Amino acid sequence: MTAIVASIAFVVVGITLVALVERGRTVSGAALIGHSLGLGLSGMAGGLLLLSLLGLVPQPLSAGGICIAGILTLWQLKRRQQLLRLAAVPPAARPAGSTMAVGLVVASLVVALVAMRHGFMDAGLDAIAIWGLKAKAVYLAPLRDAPVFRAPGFSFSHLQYPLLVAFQLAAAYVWAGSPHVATGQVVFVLAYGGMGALAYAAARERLRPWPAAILALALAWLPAQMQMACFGYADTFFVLACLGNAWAAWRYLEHGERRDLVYFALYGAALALTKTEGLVTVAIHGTLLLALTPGRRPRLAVLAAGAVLLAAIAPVWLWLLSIPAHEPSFSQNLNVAFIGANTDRLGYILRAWFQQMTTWRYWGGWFFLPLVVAVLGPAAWRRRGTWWLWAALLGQAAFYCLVYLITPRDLAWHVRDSIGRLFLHLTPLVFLIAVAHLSDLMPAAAVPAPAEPEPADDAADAG
Amino acid sequence: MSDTPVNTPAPAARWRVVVGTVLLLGLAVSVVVPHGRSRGFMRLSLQSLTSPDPGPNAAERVATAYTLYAPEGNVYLRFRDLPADGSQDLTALSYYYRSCYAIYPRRVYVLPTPGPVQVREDLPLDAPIPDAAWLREHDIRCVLTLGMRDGHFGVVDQEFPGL
Repeated sequence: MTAIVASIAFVVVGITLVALVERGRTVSGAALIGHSLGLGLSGMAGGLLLLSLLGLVPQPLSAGGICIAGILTLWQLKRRQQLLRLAAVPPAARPAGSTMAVGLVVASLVVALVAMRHGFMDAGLDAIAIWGLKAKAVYLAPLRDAPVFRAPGFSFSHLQYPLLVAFQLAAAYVWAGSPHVATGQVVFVLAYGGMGALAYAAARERLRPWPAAILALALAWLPAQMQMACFGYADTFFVLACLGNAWAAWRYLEHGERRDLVYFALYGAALALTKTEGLVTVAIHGTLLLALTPGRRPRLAVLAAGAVLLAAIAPVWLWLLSIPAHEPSFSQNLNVAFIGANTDRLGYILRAWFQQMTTWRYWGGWFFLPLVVAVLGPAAWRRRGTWWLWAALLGQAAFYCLVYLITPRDLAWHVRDSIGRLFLHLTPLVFLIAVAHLSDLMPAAAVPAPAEPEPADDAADAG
Repeated sequence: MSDTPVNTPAPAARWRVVVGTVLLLGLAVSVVVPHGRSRGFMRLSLQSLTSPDPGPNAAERVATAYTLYAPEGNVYLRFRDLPADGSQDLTALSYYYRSCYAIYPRRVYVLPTPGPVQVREDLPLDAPIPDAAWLREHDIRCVLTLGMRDGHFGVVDQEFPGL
């Protein structure tokens, strides 16, 4: 019961954020579900995180207050006739849409069932050592008073890791009245379901219904995706936020709508507050977006979105950086001398990458998909968005290789411990690349026009 | 949102649709089939559906142990002998992490001078029990020793300094 109440609270916050971004526009059901879950988990946890920085622990009053503020906002939007509208599903798309929904619900139920019985807090050490412990800590005390962040004995919990997922768990605990593990599991199931719905929305925008459903289900049903969703790791939400962030950047490059920059900033903030690598991922995505956006005014808009994103994450990151570090630092090895002396690591890293790509039981043929579709759908190369997606994928992959190159830990252990999760982070970009190229092979009937076209920048502007 | 279609693509050639369909179906098969071959996850899924309640998971079992041995105060944790089947590092670390989680915000100590615990070597075997003054100062109410007994890893000894 408490899991249902927690889910409703997340969804209310999510719908409010989507309604504020869309302002009376029409959105598809899949996009609404995906964004509501993605932004709901981020918005509620982000709100509680900021309140905790101010000295307030998550409690029904604060979480309920955020929900009530959301409901009042929705009411105001309805009064002004600016509430978002749901797009009608064309009859031809209904069988594929229904199949997608059933497939996703079944997968989510399997994830929930395995998590409850066997997985969560039991399968991987990080689930309890990092996310579970932090969630309990932030639920019991405000950030500045929580002993976990100050005692060296807790350094196994990676004290400087971002805290959004810990606050998502704490937001669920609020409704149980205690840090009850079973209630926390709902967070991972919601993130998993949201990822599937958002993937279908992104694919359906450019593909026919059946190809969109098959591709989105393939992403959701990836064995590694389902297993990770059961085990209480932050990576499932990371995938959802990365998908939302990359889809928004792609749409902005194709349509130039400013609302996509808002989505980019919201999901970017969520990424940067979920895992440390999320911060670098957002930096890569943002830099590439700025580089590939044509015209001065659109570039200024990208910069403005970046500034808002930075302002949102700055208080949390400044606080995290104030925590004493007790672990070997990666940055101390980030110099030419160290990298030059360790180039022999590269062969090991590339072999491990190839081995992971070809591990059929985790990924099927997923990581060969971009190579195949890039050849079969070459017309997509004419669009800036496709270049952005490829550059983001290669940039993120290069960053992860660099991490291994400079790791202060034992390389073999580090690769073995983390490479599966890093590959999981790449799945949304592979998915969007597949959508981009497949849209040449089997396009949707028409690409809808943007609601409010931004003023086009002319060449003089760009100059 | 305007309904005016823009950028309407030319109808795709039939061969393109066929190639795309074959590709997607191949992808779907490549993703679904491994579920049947993934021994661990598939077995867990089927067990979840068919077996009776497997009982508390490892984290819950550890939490239950602490409600018995150390309902209040801090804990001094010692490790005696670890499994000899290659799982010793994982066993010790997971028990330590679960202990820290179970009694938080109370504390688990494994050495008189608490330092970072990152790897198994940070959890000493047969660490000496600190003197009574140290135990009092750190509010240690229970000294638990973990090790192998009858082929199972668990609590092999407990002392209650305050009693």
